[in-house]
Amino acid sequence: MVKKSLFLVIGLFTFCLFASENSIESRLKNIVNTAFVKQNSIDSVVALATNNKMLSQKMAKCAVLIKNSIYVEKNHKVLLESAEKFDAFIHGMYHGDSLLNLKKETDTQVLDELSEVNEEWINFYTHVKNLYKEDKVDMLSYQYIIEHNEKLLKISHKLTQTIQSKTMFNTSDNQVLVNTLKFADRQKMLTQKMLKEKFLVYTNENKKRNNVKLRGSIILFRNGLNGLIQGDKKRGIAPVSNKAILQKLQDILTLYNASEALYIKQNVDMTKMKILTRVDNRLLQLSTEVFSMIQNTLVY
Amino acid sequence: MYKKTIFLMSLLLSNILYAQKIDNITGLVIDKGLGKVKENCTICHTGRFIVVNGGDRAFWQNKVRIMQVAYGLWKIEKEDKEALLTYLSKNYSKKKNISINE
Repeated sequence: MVKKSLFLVIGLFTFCLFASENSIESRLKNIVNTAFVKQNSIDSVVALATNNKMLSQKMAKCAVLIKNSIYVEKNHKVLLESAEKFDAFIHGMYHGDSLLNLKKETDTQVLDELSEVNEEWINFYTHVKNLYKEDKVDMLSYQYIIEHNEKLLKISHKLTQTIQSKTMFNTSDNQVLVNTLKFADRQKMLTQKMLKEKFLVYTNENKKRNNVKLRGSIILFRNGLNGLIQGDKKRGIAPVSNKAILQKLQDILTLYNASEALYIKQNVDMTKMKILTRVDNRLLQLSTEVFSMIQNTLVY
Repeated sequence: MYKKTIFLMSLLLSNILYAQKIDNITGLVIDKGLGKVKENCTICHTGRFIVVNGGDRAFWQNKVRIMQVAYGLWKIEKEDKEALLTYLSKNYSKKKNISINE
């Protein structure tokens, strides 16, 4: 009888222990899964917000290339695709978008800043759609895009930083990650801004001012790239230790070093400008890959 | 003893009341005008470059001019520039004796 009771008590104890472990394990799994889902959602919204900054410059660059009759059909297609992506992010922020992994935004500050971007975007998008029709460039729309793309860039940047400040934790480790991502994101945008400015200089549009802007963009791009590779205390970036990211950054450096003289040189001919167009596409592609790799790595 | 406690309590309370809230992404004080700093300054550099500097309105006006002449910072609308300079001279009025590398 005693043995039987003892056996039952031990059995009951083991069962409770097992059940409790299962319950803890299940709850832990739930917490981890929820955290992953939330992190994925944050990564998506931050990646898309930063992408819109780059797109503001890419659309302006495409407009300049179309106006200069460079790969017109292809650039017109890229222009419209870029505009659709920009628009999809705004729409997704307002209404949610499961394909883009965006939740309907509820934060009032983010919504206020989103509304500012949207207000600017509505007119900008109209001019993007009007820019090229029946083999002709609408100069009114062209001028609008050239005059307003920087406004779109800066308010998109403000929105990005506000989204980040609402979603990322404030720890010193995280601050390094935030800075590194910021510079990786800036590199993407700068590739487009540099080529836009280079073409504006080439076509003598506000040449003096665009030369200053181009010089500034080149300095920022070069410093940013070196900072991402070697680290930069002033900019709060740690040196890269991840071999795959380092390799990708060095690919960018090699390509950029081979082309920098063309960006800087005055009075280059159209053949060289076309070469820069191809370099720019590759720089953007590599820079986008780096941004994504940094966002998805645990060790930079 | 009683006076000392009240003094310490009021010191603590004033610290809590007047403590500046810091934006966790830019590292800058949250105040009216921060949005203009995000639009025009932290798009190119980190907030740290602002934190380690400091000066009056003329000092910041000169900094903005340098950014425009040397780095191609765009033209800032008058109203936006006012908000920007007010924010900077109010929250970063004194040169801090700290290195940007810290």
